[in-house]
Amino acid sequence: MTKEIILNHITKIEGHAKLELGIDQGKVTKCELSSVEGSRYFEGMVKGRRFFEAHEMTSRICGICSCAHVIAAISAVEDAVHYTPTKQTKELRLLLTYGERIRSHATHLYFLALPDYLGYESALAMASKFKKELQVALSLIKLGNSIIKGVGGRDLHPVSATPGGWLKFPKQEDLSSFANLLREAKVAAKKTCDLFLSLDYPKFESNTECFALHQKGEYATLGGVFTGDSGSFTKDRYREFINEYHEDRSTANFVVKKDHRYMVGALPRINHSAEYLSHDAKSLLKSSPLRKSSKNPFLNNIAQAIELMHCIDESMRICLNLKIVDEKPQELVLRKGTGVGCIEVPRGTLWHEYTLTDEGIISGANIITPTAQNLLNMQEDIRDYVPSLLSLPKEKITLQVEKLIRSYDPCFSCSAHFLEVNWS
Amino acid sequence: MKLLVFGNPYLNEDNLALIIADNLQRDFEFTRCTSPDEILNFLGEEIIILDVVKNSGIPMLITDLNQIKKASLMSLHDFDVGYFLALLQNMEMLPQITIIGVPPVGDIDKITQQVKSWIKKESCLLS
Repeated sequence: MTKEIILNHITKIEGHAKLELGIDQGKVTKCELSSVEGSRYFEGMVKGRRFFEAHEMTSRICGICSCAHVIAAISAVEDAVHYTPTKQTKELRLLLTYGERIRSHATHLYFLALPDYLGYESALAMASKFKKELQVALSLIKLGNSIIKGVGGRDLHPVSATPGGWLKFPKQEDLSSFANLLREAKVAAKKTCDLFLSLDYPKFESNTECFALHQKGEYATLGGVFTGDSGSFTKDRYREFINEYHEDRSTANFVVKKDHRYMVGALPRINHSAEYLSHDAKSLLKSSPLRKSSKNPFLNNIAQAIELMHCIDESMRICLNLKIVDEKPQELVLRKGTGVGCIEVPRGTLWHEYTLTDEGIISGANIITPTAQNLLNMQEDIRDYVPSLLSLPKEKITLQVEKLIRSYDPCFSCSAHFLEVNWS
Repeated sequence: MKLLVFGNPYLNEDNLALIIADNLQRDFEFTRCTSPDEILNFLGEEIIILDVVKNSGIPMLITDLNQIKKASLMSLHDFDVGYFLALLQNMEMLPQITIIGVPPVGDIDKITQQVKSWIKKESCLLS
């Protein structure tokens, strides 16, 4: 029997993607996942601009993860001129990043992933029956937005972070107020974890390698060594290990590590840094099915829920301990060179690289998003997963495939470099 | 009563509500919102929202949310004011709300006067 599935517009993901799936005699004969977003050209747009413009421009890659691009771009520029930010700046960047992760994980979990598991077409359709759950979601989203706005100056495309420091500091009383909100939000994080632990996840193991930043002593976020099961490398050597290639059918590049697919995101982060989760996040992890080296991508949802607790605890630590000092941003001593910013963002590891002239003009840029790194892995997971679904009707196969893709929380707008399914 | 205004000052097709709010700042106090979840801050209050309505040629007063086309949430980029209000409605959390929709382009003075008279009328009705 021959089946052809063409999903021309995969829903409840960030951006647009297409999947072409061919099945013949119980075997997958074709499995092509591609981005159908328009090309974005950000790497070209920043060329010729000044070093302090990179983060402002690349923030526009995505409204959902604008803080991520801001911090990654700034980190790369600072790396290029060998500048090390102050402890206060690092803490503020961390707080901004955690605020965004709280907002992003809560929205993905409740509005994109949860309807699949509860059997609804959308969050809107389940709103009347699952009012309390969505109230939890809205409270977490609001909290994330408040932190981003208070620390970054705006809830989208933050303006306070700059190479060399911070332009406008949050008030000390704002941090105290966030600490109180964060304390209350721990209940919401626990409820989220309990909810996602109660769901039935398909049993599937990806034939992949999990990669994430790893840094001794902390749950790596803004720095560390890119680490997998087979080894690790420092960010400055990423071109030796990570290759991007283009397929004509996709506007997103595919990324491989030495010709092998790999996975980034909350699950790989927990696989590599579980010992550095906050106390309460560790307790949640113990009660979860996640074990070291879990490779079931569906469990990425549980990993995100656990990370919610960690981000709340860590944000609270910062808000309670940081005493704001009015530091002026340091003027960077410009020099010719190339720098790499590599940070952990909601969907995985984000890479920005800039080459600067001695006058601080950007002469080269490269951006690799988490979704670009996960793209091949998602495609191959679908190829491996679909044979177990063949007894199901087409509609159910499609739903299961979409669930698999959504578990990665992909953002094709950013990677456009994402899902429509064509069955063949 | 709370007056909320939405829009993007940098997009010509989405900034008219902000311009109107600026024109009316001597008469009314508007809260500029950048994200629909900001409505959550005013759940106990009566709300008037000023926003641009796509594909509209004239200002309009919307008191029935069913008039708003409900788009599916394809991605979080679709999480707009319309979707958020529909969500609150389904969650039975929707405050008393009136939406004044302005077209993307039009005679600014004329639209300003129309919006002013609607806000005056609605604030009387709400209070």
